[in-house]
Amino acid sequence: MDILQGTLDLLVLRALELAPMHGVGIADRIQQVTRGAFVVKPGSLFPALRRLEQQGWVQGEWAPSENNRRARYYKLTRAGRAQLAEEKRNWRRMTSAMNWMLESEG
Amino acid sequence: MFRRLTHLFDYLFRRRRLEDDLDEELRSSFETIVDRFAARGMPPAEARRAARLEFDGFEQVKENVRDGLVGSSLQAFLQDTRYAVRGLRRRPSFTLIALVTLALGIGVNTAVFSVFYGVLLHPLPYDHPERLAIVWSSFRTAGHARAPVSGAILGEIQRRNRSLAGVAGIWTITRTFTGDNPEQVKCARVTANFFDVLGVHAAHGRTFTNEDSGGPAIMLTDGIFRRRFAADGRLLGKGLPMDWEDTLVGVLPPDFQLHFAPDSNVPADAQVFDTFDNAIYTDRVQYYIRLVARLKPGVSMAEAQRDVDRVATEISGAYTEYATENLQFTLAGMQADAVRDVQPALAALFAGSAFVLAICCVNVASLLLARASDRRKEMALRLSMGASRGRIVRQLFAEGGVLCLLGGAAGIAVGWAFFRGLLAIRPERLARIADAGLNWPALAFAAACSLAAALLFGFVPAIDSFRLDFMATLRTGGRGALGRLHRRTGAALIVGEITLGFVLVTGAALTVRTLSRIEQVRPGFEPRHLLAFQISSGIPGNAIPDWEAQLAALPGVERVGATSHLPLDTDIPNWYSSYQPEGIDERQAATLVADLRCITPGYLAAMGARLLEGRYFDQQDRAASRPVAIVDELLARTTWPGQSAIGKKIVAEHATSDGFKPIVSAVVGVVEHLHNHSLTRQVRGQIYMPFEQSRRGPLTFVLRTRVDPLSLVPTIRRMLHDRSRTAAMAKVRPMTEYVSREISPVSFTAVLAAIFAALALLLAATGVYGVLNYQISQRRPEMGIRMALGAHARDVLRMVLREVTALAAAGVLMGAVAALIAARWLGTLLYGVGPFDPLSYGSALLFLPAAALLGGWRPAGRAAAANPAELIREE
Repeated sequence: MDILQGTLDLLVLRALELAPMHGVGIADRIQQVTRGAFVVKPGSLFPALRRLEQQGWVQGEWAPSENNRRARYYKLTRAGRAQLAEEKRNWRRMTSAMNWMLESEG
Repeated sequence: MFRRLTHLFDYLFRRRRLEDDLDEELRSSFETIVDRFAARGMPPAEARRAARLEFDGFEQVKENVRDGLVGSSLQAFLQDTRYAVRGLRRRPSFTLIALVTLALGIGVNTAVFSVFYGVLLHPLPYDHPERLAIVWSSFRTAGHARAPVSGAILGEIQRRNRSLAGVAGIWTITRTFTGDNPEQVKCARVTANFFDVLGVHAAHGRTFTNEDSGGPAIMLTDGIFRRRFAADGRLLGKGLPMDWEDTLVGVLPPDFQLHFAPDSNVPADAQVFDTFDNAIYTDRVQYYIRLVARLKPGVSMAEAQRDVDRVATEISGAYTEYATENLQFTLAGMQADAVRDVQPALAALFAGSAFVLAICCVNVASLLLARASDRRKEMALRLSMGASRGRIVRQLFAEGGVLCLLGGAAGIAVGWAFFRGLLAIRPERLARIADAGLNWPALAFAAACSLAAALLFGFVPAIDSFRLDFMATLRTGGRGALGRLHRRTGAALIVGEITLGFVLVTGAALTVRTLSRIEQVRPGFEPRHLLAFQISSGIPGNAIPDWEAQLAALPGVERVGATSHLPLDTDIPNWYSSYQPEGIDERQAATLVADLRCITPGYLAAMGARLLEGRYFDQQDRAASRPVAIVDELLARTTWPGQSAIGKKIVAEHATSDGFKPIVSAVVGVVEHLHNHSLTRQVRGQIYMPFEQSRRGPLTFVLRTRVDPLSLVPTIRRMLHDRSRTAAMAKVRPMTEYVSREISPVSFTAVLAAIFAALALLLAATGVYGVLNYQISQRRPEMGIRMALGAHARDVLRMVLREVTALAAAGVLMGAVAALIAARWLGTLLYGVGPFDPLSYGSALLFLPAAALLGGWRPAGRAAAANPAELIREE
């Protein structure tokens, strides 16, 4: 399934909500949690990460990874958390609107 | 915002570190994925391959990251530019040719636009000049479309109009500053509101007010105030030594100048201004006042025209003399009216220079296209490596942009030099271009040209790149598919170039033929071996015959004479007035106007004017004897059609000691028309009176010589000095100088047109060379196969030349059609040749194919000389 335009940021921010992660980890997590519905390719993941970093919503830092490589770990900033909350609200508003539309009778 | 700025800063200055970071991150991510595959038990090589499949390619990812970041577009722009500069430096000959071509095109256009702007568009130095209009009266039935008005009519317009803020009149006379160093000056006589209508304020003192009308008040231009009166402000309010009583009330600002059409006889350089008497408003007879009006704010020219039409209708009933004449008024914007004589020539030159620029652009575009095709392989490679198409198109635009920026800069330099050249050969009529100079609008125009060219140059190869199928291109080594497209475009460019060139060469041939026809015009006199000089004072009228005899006795002098108004001399205001042939009603005669001249007996013979009937004046035509006149054939023919003019009586004004008086004289001779105002047109008929009977000065003496006219000047100066201490010779010139000054606007046009045509031919030749050279290098395998199959070198040569000829023929055909259309429009600029002059078209028919073949010769020869085996092997 294709990732909806504009939802990648929400997915990434949400993946980082619990703990900092590196790029591959973020992609894995999105795939796991969505039960394989969304596969994030590096070609879109890394541009998104850099963009979020420029916005100041995530912050990258070099740290050793689980198998002892140097990896760049991303964590949510305060602004990032606020942004996530905002995007969640937007998303819910949108999905309920969509649902009303789909479930209305004729 | 602040964060974005710091990121931009990071991006621009710490880019290396960011890029390194990204590299490392991608690599470590890649390894992580490899590890994961390995953990599932894949052998290492297998794991790497799988990881690579999952990873879309490092470069692609990096490109995506860069595209998404703040500052990346600026960065990419700088990079594109650097890359473009490097690319241009790698191909110096290509770059040089492209730059020279562009610089020529832009330079020529900048210079010609400067002239165009300076003369036609640079606003006149008056207040809201767009609201100023010239008012002409026209008598349709009498054929005077641009006639002046009488004082009575001026008054009617002033009183009756509703759309004009003011209407002022002007007319030029000659006045003299007396004193130690007498000097004749051009004086403009104006209505008191003249400067208010123009919106010009005095630099010192004041301008005229209503109370000044007909009084002693005068104003001076800044020029004469400085030169003759040392800019002495104490003179304001005082009388200056002059022919009549006067009081200096004001001095005009330094940049003040009159801007009237040449046929209005209001010279640009009047130095003194005085005022009309209010008595002119009752004068219904003399038509000599030129009008300038200021439209009320918000009134359009068309509305004002309707308003003066109404005035004309109203007064035609009250002024019975116009009932039969159908009097009308015509309003014309002041600036448009002042330049109407040069406007068509300048517009044609501007169009010609635009054609040259178009040809230059075609040439450079074809060079770039050839280059873009050469680089298809490189483009295809970059596309496959992950560069986006947008990025590649940007790059192509960057290259065009850099080229045009450099070309534009070089073009401005070329334009400046070319403009200097134009200034050196500019005719007097275009004096204003010196004021405007190579100006901001012209530079802006050059910039606009460069920008348009840059877009064009980016656009052509960009379209090309969109059709690029990179896999196919890589397979065929960059050749193949492009061939047909490029050949079609190349052919279209050649045809277009020859079409434009044909129009330019035809136009130039027509202009040059016009020039040579005008040079052959007989102006009614023989200008060679004729010396002219003016003496304003110092020889009393009675001593003139003696002085002429003394001149005639000089060795090398054949004939001597003098006139009050030398032909083609525009410094002295023309003397012309209505005349009345005996037996024709005064009212009817009011619109019969002739040039009047006072001459000494030897004048017409010395000028070489042919006597057609009767006799010249002689020493017997004295003040006391019967008044006599000589008329020109134009006046004789129009006044007494089908009859001999000899013996007819004519009333015309004479200069007498009591001022101008109408006097009846008998016509004793008819001479050919002397071109007083224009080499190409007979403006109006002429009446000559003996100086003895009508003493009007200053006299200009003419000497018909056997020797170089100027060689006599020192002797004459000495003779004059011996005769009078105060007499001075002015304007000592061979008559040929007046003629060439008259020709100069035409030769200016002809020189420019010839330069354009030469450029067009050169560009056509190099253009064909460029396109063909490239095409042949693309078609080498084909040629090789043909030759291997038994075609001779001669056949290949013939094949290529046949193609060139076909293209040239197509271009010539289209060019001929375009030239025929354009020539119709050139009509008013031509003289003595028709717009469909076969010789002009013939020369274009000869030159353009010749240029095309010249350009095609070398590439064709190279194709024919090549070794077939080698050609095929390249494939």
